[in-house]
Amino acid sequence: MGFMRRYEQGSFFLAIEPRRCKSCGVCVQSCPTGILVLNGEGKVTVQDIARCVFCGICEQRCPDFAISVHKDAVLQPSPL
Amino acid sequence: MPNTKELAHHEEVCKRFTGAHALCAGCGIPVCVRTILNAIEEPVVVLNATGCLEVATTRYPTTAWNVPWLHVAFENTAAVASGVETAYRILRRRGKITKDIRFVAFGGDGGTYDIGLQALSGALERGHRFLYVCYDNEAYMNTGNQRSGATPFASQTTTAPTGEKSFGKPQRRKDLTEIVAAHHVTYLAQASISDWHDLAVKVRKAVSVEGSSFLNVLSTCPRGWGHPSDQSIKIAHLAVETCYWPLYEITDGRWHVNYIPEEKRPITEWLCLQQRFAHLFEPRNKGLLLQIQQQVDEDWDRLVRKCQESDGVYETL
Repeated sequence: MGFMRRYEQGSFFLAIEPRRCKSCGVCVQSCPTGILVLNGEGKVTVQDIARCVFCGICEQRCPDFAISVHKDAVLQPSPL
Repeated sequence: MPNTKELAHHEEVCKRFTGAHALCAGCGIPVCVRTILNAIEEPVVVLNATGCLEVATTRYPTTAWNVPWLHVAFENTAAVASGVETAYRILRRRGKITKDIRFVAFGGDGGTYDIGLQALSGALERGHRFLYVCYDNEAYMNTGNQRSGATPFASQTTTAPTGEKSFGKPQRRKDLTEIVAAHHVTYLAQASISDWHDLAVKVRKAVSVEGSSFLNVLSTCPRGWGHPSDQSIKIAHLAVETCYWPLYEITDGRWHVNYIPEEKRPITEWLCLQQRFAHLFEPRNKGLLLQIQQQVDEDWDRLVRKCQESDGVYETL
């Protein structure tokens, strides 16, 4: 549904729906590793997904449901 | 008990309240509502008083709610909740409903402290099984920041302006949690949007009791309080750290403080971040700052004393 950006790290991923973001910056202030920033349009983006610890604080605190943290139900088999 | 994160992805629970709302950037209300609805495992019926939440989540023809939702008027949320709960109880007794449903009423501080107090008092006294949640943003924010019974002392509002001869609201705020405690409600608590685990645990306790339960949740308002929208959670947490908004619960008449800050921060740290208190930092209003600190200290000491009397845990405080 809609336009969603997906940032992956292993079996976890962070999904951001920029259309919903109201540029409040609560997630940027809350992120313990400081990887979230507001881009030129004022929408939240991930700077460096490798440093994400998937704590889910951004998801819990985002008032507009723009960020969500997921774990893939089916693990992708690693290539040989 | 599964944690809120696990519950949020549970099929029954997820998407009860969605992002299709028009609440301001940085508003604390959606954080509060989502945490509460995510913490309840049972099917939920939501009752809503007039206010920011009701107006911004139900713009025709859209809605942010995926649960049965009812709004009647400003003043009668608790009365409507009583009616709905009674109807449910009777239909259940006749075997027409088999589900175990929970009722949650949301009201702002205007709809709870002032306008809806009479209906709330009646419903609590009759002991209907429902959870009343007051999201307290300390003024009538939906209509543009008019003073309410929850507005703190010396806060600037449009109906209590600041100037040469006035310093904002001259009266102190009402202590609604204690008013509700006087109804001998089985479970009631005070919580903040910044401490979501505490809030979620309180919701679980509240929906598991047989009678009425009540939650008073501090919710920030960037537009009305006059702070940058990204500071919302920080300011809500500072209210807890300064003991302005202590997190406590009352179970069967037993008072218990859930969080005691290691070091009690001065109230000026919380006040200086908000535009509505900016006038207090002018030299002529210096006395007011001391007065506010004194009020906070008195309230905190009184609360700790009550907790000591009822369970005697806090000897060192």
